Amino acid sequence: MRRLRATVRTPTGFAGSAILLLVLFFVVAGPILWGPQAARINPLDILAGPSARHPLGTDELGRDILAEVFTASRLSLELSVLATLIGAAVGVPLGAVVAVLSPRPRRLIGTLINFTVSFPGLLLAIFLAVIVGVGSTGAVLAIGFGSAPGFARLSQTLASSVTEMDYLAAARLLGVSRTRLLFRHVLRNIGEPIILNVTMSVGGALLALSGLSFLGLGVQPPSYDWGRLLSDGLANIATNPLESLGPGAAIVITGIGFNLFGESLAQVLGQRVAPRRPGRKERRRLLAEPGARPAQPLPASPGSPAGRQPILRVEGLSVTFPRQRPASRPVRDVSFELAPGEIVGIAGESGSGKSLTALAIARLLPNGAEASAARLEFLGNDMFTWRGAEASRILGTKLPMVFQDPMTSLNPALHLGIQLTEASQVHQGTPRRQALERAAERLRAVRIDRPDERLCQYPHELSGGQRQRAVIAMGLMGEPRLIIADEPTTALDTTVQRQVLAIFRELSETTHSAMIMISHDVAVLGELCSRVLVMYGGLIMEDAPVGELAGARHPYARMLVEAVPDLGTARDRPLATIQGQPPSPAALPPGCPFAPRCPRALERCRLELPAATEVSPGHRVRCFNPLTFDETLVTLVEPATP
Amino acid sequence: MKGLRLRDVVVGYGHGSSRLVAVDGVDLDVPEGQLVGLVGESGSGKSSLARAIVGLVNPLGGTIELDGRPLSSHGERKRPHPVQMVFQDPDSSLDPRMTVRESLSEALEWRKLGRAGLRAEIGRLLELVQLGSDTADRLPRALSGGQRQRVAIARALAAEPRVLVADEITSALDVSVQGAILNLIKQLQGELGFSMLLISHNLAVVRYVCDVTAVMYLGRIVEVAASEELVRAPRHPYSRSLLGALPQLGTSARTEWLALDAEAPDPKRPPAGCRFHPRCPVGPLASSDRQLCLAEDPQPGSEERPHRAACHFALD
Amino acid sequence: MNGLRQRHPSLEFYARRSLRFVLSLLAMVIVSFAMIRVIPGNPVRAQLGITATEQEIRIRTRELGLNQSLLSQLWTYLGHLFTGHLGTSITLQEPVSNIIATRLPNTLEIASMAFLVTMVLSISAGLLLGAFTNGGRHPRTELSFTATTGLLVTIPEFVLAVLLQYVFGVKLGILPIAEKSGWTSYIMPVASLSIPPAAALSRLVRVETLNALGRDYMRTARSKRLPARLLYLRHVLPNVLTATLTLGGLLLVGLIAGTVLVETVFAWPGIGSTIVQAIEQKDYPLIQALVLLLGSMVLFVNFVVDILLGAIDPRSAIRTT
Repeated sequence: MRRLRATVRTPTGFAGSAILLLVLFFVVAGPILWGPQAARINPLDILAGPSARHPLGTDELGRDILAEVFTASRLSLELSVLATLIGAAVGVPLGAVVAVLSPRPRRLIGTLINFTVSFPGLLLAIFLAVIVGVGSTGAVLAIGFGSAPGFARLSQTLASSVTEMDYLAAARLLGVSRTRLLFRHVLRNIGEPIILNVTMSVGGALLALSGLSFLGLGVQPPSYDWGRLLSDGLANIATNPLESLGPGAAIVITGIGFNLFGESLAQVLGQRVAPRRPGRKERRRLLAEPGARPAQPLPASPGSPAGRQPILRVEGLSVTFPRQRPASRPVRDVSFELAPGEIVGIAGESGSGKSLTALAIARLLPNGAEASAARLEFLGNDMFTWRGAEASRILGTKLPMVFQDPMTSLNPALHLGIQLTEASQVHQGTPRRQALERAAERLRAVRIDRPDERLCQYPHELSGGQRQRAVIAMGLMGEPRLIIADEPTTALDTTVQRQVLAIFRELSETTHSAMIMISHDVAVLGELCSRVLVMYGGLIMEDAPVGELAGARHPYARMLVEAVPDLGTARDRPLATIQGQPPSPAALPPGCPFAPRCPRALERCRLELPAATEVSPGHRVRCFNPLTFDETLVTLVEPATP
Repeated sequence: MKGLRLRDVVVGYGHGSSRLVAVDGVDLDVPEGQLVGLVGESGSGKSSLARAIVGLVNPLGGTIELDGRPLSSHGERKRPHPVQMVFQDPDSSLDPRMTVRESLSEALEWRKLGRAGLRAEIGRLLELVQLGSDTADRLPRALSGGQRQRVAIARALAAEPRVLVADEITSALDVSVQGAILNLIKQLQGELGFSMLLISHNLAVVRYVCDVTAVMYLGRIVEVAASEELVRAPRHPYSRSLLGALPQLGTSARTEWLALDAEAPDPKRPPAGCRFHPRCPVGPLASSDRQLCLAEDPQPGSEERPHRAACHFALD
Repeated sequence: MNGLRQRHPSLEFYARRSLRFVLSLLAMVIVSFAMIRVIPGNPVRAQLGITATEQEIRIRTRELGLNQSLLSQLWTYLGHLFTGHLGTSITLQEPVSNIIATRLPNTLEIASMAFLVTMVLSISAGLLLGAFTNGGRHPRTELSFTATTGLLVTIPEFVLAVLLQYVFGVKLGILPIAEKSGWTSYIMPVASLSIPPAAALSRLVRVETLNALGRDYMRTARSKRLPARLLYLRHVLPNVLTATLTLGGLLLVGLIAGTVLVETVFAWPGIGSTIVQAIEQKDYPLIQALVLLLGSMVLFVNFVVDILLGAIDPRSAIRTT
């Protein structure tokens, strides 16, 4: 009920429900109020045009057309509802039963449903019209049975998605009986979308039935529905167009009503998972927070060897979503430099801003996100102003990216050959043959066997590890200067992860390309990187040489290290844990974003944002109360209940 | 023997060329009150084994016994299964339309508690998993992943299981939450004394939580030993490869025990002889005098070898 | 079969689909045969009316072959089908095969034109709007697009046909009201057949484009800084086509049914308007042949769509055998 009210409150929902209420009024009151007038035959007023007495004119017996249209609402809607109910009554149980059948009959019925779903209802209607004779019975049966496969498929899909859920397995383990499972879990979860779909289908059934009546295969004289009125009027379209356009408008308006109502209802149902919107107060605070102002340029990170031009220079980088309500700032004031051949890791949990940082650097932010920075330079070029063919050529060949999921980061519809060679073909004008040769050679470099064959294969023909290596090979096509890898091994098994990491290490030695590796797993970064940046709430909390990471000074960075057991963790001691949730980028606290969860937080931490300060050469920490090197975090956290 | 005892369990799916024997003759003991870990990569059959133990799939062969009686004879109608399971994905393990209270009530139905009793019991369960009583009337979508996983644990405990099977319960969670869940499950086991089978792809997690660790590869258990012992002196080359592949902060990469081929073969067509031989760093592809591994399955006779290792050269 | 599947998964897919097509055609033949035999009462009496004498009914029954055993009737029916002998229309007194030969081309003409217009219009409009409104840009364009197409989807083709007929034929008088004549007479039938499905399909193409643009592989493609033309035509389009073709096939099937309505409005001399008359006059040989024809066309379209999907999306061939 609450949802219905929410639906009516949206503009489309309001329009839809208004139309449907109007239709309902005519269904109930139409035949009562206008029935007698519609039945009154007047031989003196045959086929009259529109007039004050007859706004839509009269038919060949002198009956008022508008009254007929109003009166016909009841029959038109009754038949549509009936047909829909027949379809739902046949289709929904069939589909729901299929979901709990054993595989063989399930496949058989599934095939049958898929097959019949594509068979137009009109053909079925013609068929039935021949057998049971022309009339509304045949038409209703035909539209009903015609829509049954659609309902069956819908409920089958929905029910099988529920039966795959773990909560159903859990309930079975608890000894819940089959019928209870069906009613308590399955039907409750598929009921809403099915009711929604059935409601929307009434509109479709109305159109189909009107079509049949229009053809003379539906409602027969002396009864009439909108479709028949329309076809009667068609004969006189030259003299009185309103006679056919009136019932036509009734059909269309009712159809639109059902569509609008259904669409907004679906939206309201779908929105229930959407996160809560922070209120106005929170929004104002966001705009007043320190990171929102232009960033003070920080001293450049001291990690890069002196005398060499850095590959990448980032100062005060922020990413905002200005059009989101409320506007959010998931990356704030990020500064670091990258020397040629250096491998820097970015560690952090989901929502820490690490991926957006990487995308901002590569100028690949999604639409709606905006980056700003005091300085963002790649190979000495300002990334905000650098445009044109030259920029595309260098960015497209020297700054490759590797993403987390190798199953989705290659285009499933294109051969590997095309995907590997297109950048060098476009940017460097390499002939196809030559580009393919180089691609094969690069595949060999990442230890993919039979490379020539692979180039003619689709991504799905490769295993996960092979795909990730193919993506890396793609990045090696032009001489890369900076490889950005976003969780490149997270989706892979341990042994495959090891292999991919080894390939990255090898590449760094052979190509001298710099790398940014992003991972939630500090240990993975420790294997590869010389320096690790730990991000939280969009900020770099700690920038430490990898050797000092085990003794990270920021409580959050230390937690990342100590929360995950390794082979040396003492088995009789609990792991370090931290209560609470990471902050939403749309509602960041005014002080240190970690303060609400921090066991070491001071009063000051909640009020102001600490600046990054150097604690030892090449080691920066953004904390007012950092840990000392040999304190452990776990002793500080008592197991508290929230 | 008190506890869970698996002998020669076989689990398979499909027919014809798409037939997959996911678990192929597994022997495993989970003695009463013990924490046993099961480690393996994707496709090793560890989740299929878990589902077979709790009866979500019917094994094609073998016996699963609890306290010396077949597990199926323990089951009573409308009583919870004596082995309960906590699933990997906290998003799908709770009915999105049931509040925490409703989910827990369903799990407590068999005890036929009165209103007040039910209320008190739900409060106790929530306290057990360190959730505030205000969570009881929330829907899963209002909870974080870690909180949902705690509710799932509470629901399993409500059935007062003899054995708890935990299938990758931390791998869908953020790092900061993983530690808390592992701490919780260890602490609960200490307090309540149930036995547990913890399944994970991460050897370090299993070693930290469990007393005994079993390593699974392509449907077979290839090595079982006390966790510390297994990590200190693994006998099967696959266990060594897994250990060698584990990323560790502050240790430079060890390369000597890496598998030859990083990826496991298709489980639908397991290799002949020793199933690990195509990847074995000390096997027939590395040293030509080990042709035995190509032809002979090392599984029979593994009882005689240290760690029950399914390797002809486990003593070396 | 197992060996075949391992070596040529796609070949097995095509073989299975072809087998299914042949089997369903056979089923269609039997359905059309059974149709006039399950009519309750005596179909001959129903057709000739109550004034017909016993003699007339007996002759007509023999003409239709209804006096023989069912099996031998089916056998004769199959034999006739193969030789192209479909009986004689009772009302038009003309061989059914002749009627089909003269009228089917008219239907195919407007149906194929409408399909072409639908595909071209919806794919280009959907892609363009998808690119234009990606990431919540141009919300006003998006709103007017969804509103317009939403309205057009709801208007059934026959109402649209009547509306067009009134506006362009009666009111403005710039297009012929009905019947087939010069090329201008094609405009309104084709438009009323193609506009509703084009609206539906362009909505889908836009949504699919947005989906594809949000995928990881598009991020990979964008990181290669490809020109927009390559980005959209090479990387987005093939991934949009799968869903487009699936719905496109359904719409084409719907279009076959839609011709029945539209031909009636415009008095188009195709098989759609013929079947309506045949049903009204209980012209059983004609109905039988036309039901078989329309049904086979539907089956054929589904078959072609399946095969195309297998070719475009290599994964679907393996997934759905």
